[in-house]
Amino acid sequence: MPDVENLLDIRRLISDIQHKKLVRSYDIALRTEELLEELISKGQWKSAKELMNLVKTRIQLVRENLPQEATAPNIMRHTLKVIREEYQSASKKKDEGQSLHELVTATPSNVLDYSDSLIDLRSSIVDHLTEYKVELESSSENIAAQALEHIHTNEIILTVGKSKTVEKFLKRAAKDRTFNVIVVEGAPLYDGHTMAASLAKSNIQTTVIADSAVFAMMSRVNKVIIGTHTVLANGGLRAASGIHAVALAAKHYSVPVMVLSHMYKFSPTYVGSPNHEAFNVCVSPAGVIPYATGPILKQIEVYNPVYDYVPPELVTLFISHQGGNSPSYVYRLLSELYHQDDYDL
Amino acid sequence: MDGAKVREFFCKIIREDEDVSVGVAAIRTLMEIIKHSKSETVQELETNLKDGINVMKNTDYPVAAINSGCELFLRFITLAALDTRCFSDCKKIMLDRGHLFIKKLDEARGKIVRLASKFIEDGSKVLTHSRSRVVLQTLRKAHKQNKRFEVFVTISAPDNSGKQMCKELQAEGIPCTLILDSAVGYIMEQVHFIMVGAEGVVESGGIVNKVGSYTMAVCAKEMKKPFYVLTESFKFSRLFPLGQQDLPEEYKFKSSVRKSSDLKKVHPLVDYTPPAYITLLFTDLGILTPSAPLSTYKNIIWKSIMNMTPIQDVLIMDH
Amino acid sequence: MDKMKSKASTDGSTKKEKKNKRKQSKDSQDDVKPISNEVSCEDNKNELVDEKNDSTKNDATAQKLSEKELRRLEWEKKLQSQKGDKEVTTISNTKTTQQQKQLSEKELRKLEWEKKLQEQKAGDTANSALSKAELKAKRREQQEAQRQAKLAAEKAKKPPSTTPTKDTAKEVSKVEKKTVPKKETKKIIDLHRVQLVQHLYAEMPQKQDSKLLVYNNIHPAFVKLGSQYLNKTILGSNARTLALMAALKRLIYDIQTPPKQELCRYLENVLQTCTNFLQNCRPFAVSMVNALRNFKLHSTQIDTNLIDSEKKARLQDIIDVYINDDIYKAGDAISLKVNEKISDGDVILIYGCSSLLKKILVDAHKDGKKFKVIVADCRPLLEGKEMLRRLVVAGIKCTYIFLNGASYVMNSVTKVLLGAHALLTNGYVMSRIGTAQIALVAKAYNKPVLVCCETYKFSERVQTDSFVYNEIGDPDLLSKTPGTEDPSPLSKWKENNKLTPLNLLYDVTPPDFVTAVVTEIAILPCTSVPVVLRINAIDTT
Repeated sequence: MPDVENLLDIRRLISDIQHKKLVRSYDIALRTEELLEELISKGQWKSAKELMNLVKTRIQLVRENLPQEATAPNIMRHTLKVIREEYQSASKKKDEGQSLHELVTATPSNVLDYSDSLIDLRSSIVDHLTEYKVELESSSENIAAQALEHIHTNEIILTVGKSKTVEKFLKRAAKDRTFNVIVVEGAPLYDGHTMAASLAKSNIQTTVIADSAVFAMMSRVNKVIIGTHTVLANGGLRAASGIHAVALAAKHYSVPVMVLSHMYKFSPTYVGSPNHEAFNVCVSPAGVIPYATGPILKQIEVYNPVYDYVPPELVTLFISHQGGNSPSYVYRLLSELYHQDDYDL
Repeated sequence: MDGAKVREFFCKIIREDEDVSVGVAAIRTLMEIIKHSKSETVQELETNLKDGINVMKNTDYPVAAINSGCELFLRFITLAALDTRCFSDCKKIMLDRGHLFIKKLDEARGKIVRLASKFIEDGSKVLTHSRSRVVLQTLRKAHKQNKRFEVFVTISAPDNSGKQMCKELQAEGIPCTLILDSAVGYIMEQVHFIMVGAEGVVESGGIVNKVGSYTMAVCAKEMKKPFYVLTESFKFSRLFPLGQQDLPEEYKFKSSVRKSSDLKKVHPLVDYTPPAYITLLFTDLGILTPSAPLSTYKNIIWKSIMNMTPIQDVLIMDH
Repeated sequence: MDKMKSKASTDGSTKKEKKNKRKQSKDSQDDVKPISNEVSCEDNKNELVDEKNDSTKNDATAQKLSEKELRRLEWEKKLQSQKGDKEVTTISNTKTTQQQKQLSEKELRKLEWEKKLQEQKAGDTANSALSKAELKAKRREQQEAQRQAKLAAEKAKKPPSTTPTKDTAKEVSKVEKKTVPKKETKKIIDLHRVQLVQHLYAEMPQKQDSKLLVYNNIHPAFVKLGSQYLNKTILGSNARTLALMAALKRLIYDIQTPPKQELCRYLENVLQTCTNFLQNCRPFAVSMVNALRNFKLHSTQIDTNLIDSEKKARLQDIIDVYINDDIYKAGDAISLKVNEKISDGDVILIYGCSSLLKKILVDAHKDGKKFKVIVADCRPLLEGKEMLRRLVVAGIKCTYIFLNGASYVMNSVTKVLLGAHALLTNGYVMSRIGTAQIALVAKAYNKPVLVCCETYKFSERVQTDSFVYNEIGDPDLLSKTPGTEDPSPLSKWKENNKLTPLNLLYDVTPPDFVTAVVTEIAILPCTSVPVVLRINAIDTT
């Protein structure tokens, strides 16, 4: 068992997320990356195996405390892959793949156990991670750079709530093209208001509608561009509540739904059903019905779910910094991002 | 080993060991052939094996499983031959690998069971078709995890294999209802998801399975219920059926029927379910999405093949 | 005030128009911009002259207008300058009794300047009599004229006469743009309109709308009703219809037939004025139109030889029968039919507030059925809260969610019950905005959707989108965030002309989302609406 002292870093991260000091997934991603860099360069480990165990305990801790959190575990999972790769190139041993043949022909002698202590490993992993950090930082810039490939003149684009990535994307497109944006306010957070005000400031013709008007407006919308909380392994989404209805309406009118997502939002998790306990979380009903409503509150139940599950068939395209991909390609992106053994930790 | 012996051995395994799937039985038979083979060269051995395969295909067991299992096994034989020059060594390696292979296959089912049992939630109602060992084990496992759930099993004409499935589930203490094949549409409204096995998984990402699976999948799609397929990866076969008619006849009909009667008037044993109707595939290689073939695969050797399903990915990696 | 009969008529009597305008400017105490649709600019000389009076740039008004209007205005001015100056005198004479109003320092100076210019131009002594207040009144008139001009332009997309002068007008407007300092705040009212639904803004009632003030001789019951409609204190098709019927009864009770007139005829005229007034408060619901049509149809069938008190009794009867049969009894019948479909253990999702649904659910509860209700609700009206309160008072187990949580709860739902504003002939259901979305999610989860609707809400209209015919609510309702002290980032939307909140009131639900419509006649598929309409038509004739 790793002693508690060593896990202070991750506990602090968890508490910061729990207390909403870290809200944006981008901030969480950066914090996690920094945490890992610290762990790798200063942590007490002698072999890749030990380091991997250190990371794995951290992933497990996050999963236990924040079952919905995807960004931090994904960054760590990717780091595991980095460690594996660096170890392999340093030790000149090849990882057996997932193919049946290789499974069968594998002999115990050449099985990788990551236990050798290699001298250059620490520095090479840190180097690799630094590169990754640069990639993280430029990610939303790279996504925004594709804006003109997706938005044409005089389009009507619908978006829901607020997403920094979407905001950047639309503003970039607005530099060269004129188009209209319809912002769904996204009750009960109403962060669509902030989004709309910000877009309008950048000279984009913006219309704000209530959540209820989505179906009515959708018939005139050309594209739906949204952000997401997580992209699941089957190409589905865990997105802000209300987006399922938006995606359904889009499907009804055959409007393409584009999801802007950073690579760290792609998660190798499958969801049995959206009603699975670990999938959704309900927060304080105060946003839905104020406490001041009176004694009636004692007699009713109020739900305020945070997420919606959006099945992959409702998503047209994922736009990450690497470009656009369809939902059926997600499994491949995942295998590039993470090692198969780390999918389920 | 002559044909009769091969057939006898093969049928004996299936008869005696309830838990062994036809594919594994076929592989075991091939191992037996290697063990008793008096051949002196690799080529001769290969011919022996191919003869054996043909014998097995002509039994009345589902060809799909025999085919893919044997195909895979043969591949190792040739690979083993490349590894060594001496024939006796080669034979030893083959047998060693064969055992390892069978061991892995046994593990495969456990892996699938582990993956799939997570998808069974408390209070869920599961619909399954015919009898599938891996589905049975998954349900057992979920039951052992103290999950409360209900199972509906189709009777699955013409061999009524669903009856046995139902009996086995009830023996475990799992609430189970036997339904008519024609009642699939009726029951679909109340079930939460469908779990079936497969005799073979084809390159499109679709499956070949006991007749009636397709009906069930179409119905599930219409009712928006997830359709899960549980299958070992040795059942992946290099076949791309375009439709029911395109399915090889040896898959659809028993060998005895094939020879004697007018095939138009015989009920087929299996049908083909296209990938669009399948939600997820649970395999020992992990959970796969069948969906539309769209992915590009960066394998140097197979560069030319640009559009592939996950299934094809797996198949291609094996070459 | 019978000249208000036709709201959209493009040519009105100029004389009356003028009188009307004077009244407006006299009556309205605050800075309301009068809206009037009655007159087309081309034919109205007076207006042209009005503009002539202020032919030099009038900042306050000019900035109010969009570029298009500016151009148009310029063009009008040009036309006027070609005309004689005689009419100016007549105008100014009519305006001598205007009330003096306080003007800001700036305005005063501006007006002074305008006056000077006018004097120079007109070269007429009559102008010297103009007071500041008159000027203001005139400016108002001018505003109105411009508005009318704009409306007319909208109606006849391209007024044929504009084309020849367009180029020159453009030039002028360019010059003007340079000289006139821009004040954005005045311009936004027109820019803040969502292109798709431009046509709906014209009908959008505004609080303290001066066009309502032109009505007199309105029965107080209708005045009260109008304000209740306007302020949305009476909501829902049924409630609105019942209130209308009650007001109508009151009117019949109070009405005094002038000598030599027939009661029913007279009543019809009075009613017409009243309904016009109500229309301006809020466009009629389909149910109201149907109820009124029924009343009018039956009132014509009354024997003209009866004495007034008997006629009145007959008329009251017509209303009572209608309310009883088409609203109350229909509700009972629907409740019975839906109750057959509600069984123990059901989880019923409803949306917003509906008197009919409340009745159905309370009846089912009284029958001893054990079920749960999920009330979905959405901003900005939050009618669901009222529904929730009523159901809880009745002792029904309730859950409350916002619309965005619909997908979350839908899996556990067994039936979806929805109210309707109207059922259209093509089978589409017109209802409060958000209904279509609930039905859509229900469809995605394969849950049965029942729309409960009395047949008197069936409409002969066909519609496939939510834009052609709809209503626009107060956009300010959207820019407030409930529950927090901080103002929403939207609260200053009027200052940014790129930002527009849109508050639509209705949407239409396609028939493929609806399992069945429950009416008092039977449980029907949506597509049977025309059949029912036909039966009803045969019954009434």
